[in-house]
Amino acid sequence: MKVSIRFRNVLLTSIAAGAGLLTLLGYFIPVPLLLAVRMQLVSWATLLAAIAVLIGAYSLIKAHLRNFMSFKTGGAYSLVAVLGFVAMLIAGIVTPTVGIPASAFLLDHVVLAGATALSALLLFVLVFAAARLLRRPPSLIGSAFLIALVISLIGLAPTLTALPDLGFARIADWIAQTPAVAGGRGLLIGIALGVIATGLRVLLAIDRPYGD
Amino acid sequence: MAVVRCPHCQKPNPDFLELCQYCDQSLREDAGPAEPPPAAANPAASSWDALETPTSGDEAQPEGDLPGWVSALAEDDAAAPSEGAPTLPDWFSSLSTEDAPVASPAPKAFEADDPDATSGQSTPDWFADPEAADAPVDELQPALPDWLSALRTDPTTEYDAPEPAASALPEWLQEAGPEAPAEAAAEAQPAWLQDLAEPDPAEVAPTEVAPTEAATPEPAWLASLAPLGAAAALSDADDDPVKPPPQPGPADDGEALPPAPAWALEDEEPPRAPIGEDDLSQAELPAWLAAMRPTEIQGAPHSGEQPEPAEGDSYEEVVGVLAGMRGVLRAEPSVVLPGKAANQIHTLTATESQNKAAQVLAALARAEVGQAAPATRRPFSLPLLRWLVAALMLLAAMVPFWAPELFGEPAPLVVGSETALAAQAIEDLGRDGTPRRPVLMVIDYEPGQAAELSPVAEVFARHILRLGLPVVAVGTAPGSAGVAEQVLTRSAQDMSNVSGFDYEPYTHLVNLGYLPGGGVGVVEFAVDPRRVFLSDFSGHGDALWDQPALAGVESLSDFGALVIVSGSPEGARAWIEQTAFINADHPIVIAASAGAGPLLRPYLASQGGPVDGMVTGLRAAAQYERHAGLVGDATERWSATGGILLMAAIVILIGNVLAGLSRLRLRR
Repeated sequence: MKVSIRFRNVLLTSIAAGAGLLTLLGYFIPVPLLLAVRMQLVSWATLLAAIAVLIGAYSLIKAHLRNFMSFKTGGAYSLVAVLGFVAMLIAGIVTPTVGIPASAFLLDHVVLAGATALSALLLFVLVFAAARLLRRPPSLIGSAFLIALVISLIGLAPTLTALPDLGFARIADWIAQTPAVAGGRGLLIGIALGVIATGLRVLLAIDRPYGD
Repeated sequence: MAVVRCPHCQKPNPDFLELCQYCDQSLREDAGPAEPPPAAANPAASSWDALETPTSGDEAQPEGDLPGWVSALAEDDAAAPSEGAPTLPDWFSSLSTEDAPVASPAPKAFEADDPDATSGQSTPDWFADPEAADAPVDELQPALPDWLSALRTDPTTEYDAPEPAASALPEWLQEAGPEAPAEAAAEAQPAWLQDLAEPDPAEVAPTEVAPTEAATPEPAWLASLAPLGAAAALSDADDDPVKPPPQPGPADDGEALPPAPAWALEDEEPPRAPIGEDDLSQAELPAWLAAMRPTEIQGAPHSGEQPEPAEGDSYEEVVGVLAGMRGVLRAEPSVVLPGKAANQIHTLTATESQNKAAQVLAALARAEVGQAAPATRRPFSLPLLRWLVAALMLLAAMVPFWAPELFGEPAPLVVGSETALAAQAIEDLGRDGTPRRPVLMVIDYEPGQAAELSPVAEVFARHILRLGLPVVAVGTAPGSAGVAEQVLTRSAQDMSNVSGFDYEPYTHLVNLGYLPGGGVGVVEFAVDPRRVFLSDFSGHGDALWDQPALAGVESLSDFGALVIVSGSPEGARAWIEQTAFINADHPIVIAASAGAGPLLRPYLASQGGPVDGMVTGLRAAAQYERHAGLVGDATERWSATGGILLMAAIVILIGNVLAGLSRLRLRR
């Protein structure tokens, strides 16, 4: 039994590391064979990702159906979710075959309207939370965040003709171009280093998320 | 150390105490029964008394002096016990009787310990002691200790009971039991036992028993046992140079009892014949030995005295291998069990400084309790502050439509550099000499961000359509394909309304649909888009890549430009980084949300990156519209959005100022 488990781990590790190395070599060695292998592997990965989306949709609907059938709290919302899924599925099928723009209609009048309303609600919540920021004991980071937030909002907002230009727009532009870019660049460097480390760990079989 | 049993609670106490350590009652009120008897000087006799306490006596039957199981050893026919005779224990009947057809089976425990015992395959040494059985009584007399000799002359110790065969007894029984005549012993022995008991003095292993000092008074039954049997054993022990291995047990001082076999100390006592109540004087147990008795024996009433109540410890083990058993020792004795302290503290001595510190601590505690007191809950509370903030935000969104003169134009000078570079990159696609290639527009945002990003995407699409270039859209978010369809449809319609030109699908507009896989899907699409999309979003698959908009596209480098409209940094980064190996010479333009802009700005060419231009947020989209002369949704929404931004800044500022003032007031 132990022998089979070890063999399985070795097999999985070999497949993962081999696929990664072949794909990586395709970037550095422009050999047609390596390019073909790399593209085949990438194609399989894309296909798996597409299947994962379908499985995710199936799981979501199954969970909502189970929630509705068990008469749990919020089961009505699950029913709405299932009905919406079915409606969009039918609309997506009907639109190209019959020629009725049902999909676009649902997208404009249901999906976009609801999503935009939620985004507006998010804006209100964020503003309300920021307005109560100093109800807690202020800290250096919190104070800096609050000052940058107010300056950026005023700087991005249209200038009022009745008020003189106080230079908030230029300060907001400096904040966006200098500190924000520096922070973003630092984040990107950190992400790149993390990706390299993770890739090497998988290639060297130090991390085996695919096995036991 | 002697032990005195409390006459009130019956608990054992050391003899030097005046009061019971359990009930605080006097131990001297009625110390008679609890005082250690004189026989305690001979612990051996006391031990036997403890083990073989008769339940009743009959003076007419001398067997009553003996423990019932010892008397039974002398019976010739153990298989048929007569009436009034002591009943042999089953295990012993099997040992002493050869032809006992109706003998009770031996206890299971005995069988388990020695399965060959009844078959005679292995007889212990003590069992095959012919020397002790054949030894004349007269020869043993000189070896008797004084106390035993004195006891033998005591007429009260004489009895007529048949004596058990010495050779059939273990050594410790030979010491304790009366000597049996050799003939009777021979008759009592089964044939197999006689074979085993051939007289061979060299092989005899007499028991080494240290002479014990005489102790008076001796228990009656022990006095009757002592004269001959013990004397024979002691004589052999003195004469035989071959010493047996030392017996386990406390035999160091010569006063201890030879150790009894473990099976002889079983809880279940052998049955004994009824004995008259007044034939024997009740042996008195030493208190320390009585305290060691098992619970069952302790509860057995002694003859001639009132039944002693069982000790109050009815503890029953509930865990472990001893679960269900009573009388076992507790894991924690009663002295360590939690109890109430006897000494009560009536006054607390504290110094003045300690009292002051305690008063300060009490004052602090009272203040904390006062602050933590729950406020009275009103039956109905309206979150007025939230409603006020919401009303202000809605008002700010509507005011620009009612009074547009309050707001100025979007300031092109603030972020115009990025926006102008993006507009210029698209504008250059229509220059003379530039290949007329389709422009790939990546829609990488969900419908929730359409209010901010769709105006940007539409202005790009309209700009490209105005240049006469096909627009090919692809979505990399699950919900983005529908958004891309909407963007292309509305852009084409707007441009048709402006120019009067009819833009045809697959000639000027193509929506390929959703591209799964994230960065991996981007790589595959960049290398071979025809392999990824066999049909477009509407399901049209017949000669899709032969349509005019896609006719010359074999890879990502065949597109004239790459426009990435993304609501998240990750999506835009995937397109920028994963397509870098193509080394395409087309421009890359990013349209990002205000939130994703700062993380994508390092990719700008002005920052050393491959991106030629970027449009960030609705404000930059409005600037782009103005710069390209394509006024649309971004410009219309910008006033309302700007009003909301301004009002949000005011609300946040006022709210925090008030909160800060409130904190200062509380601090004072």
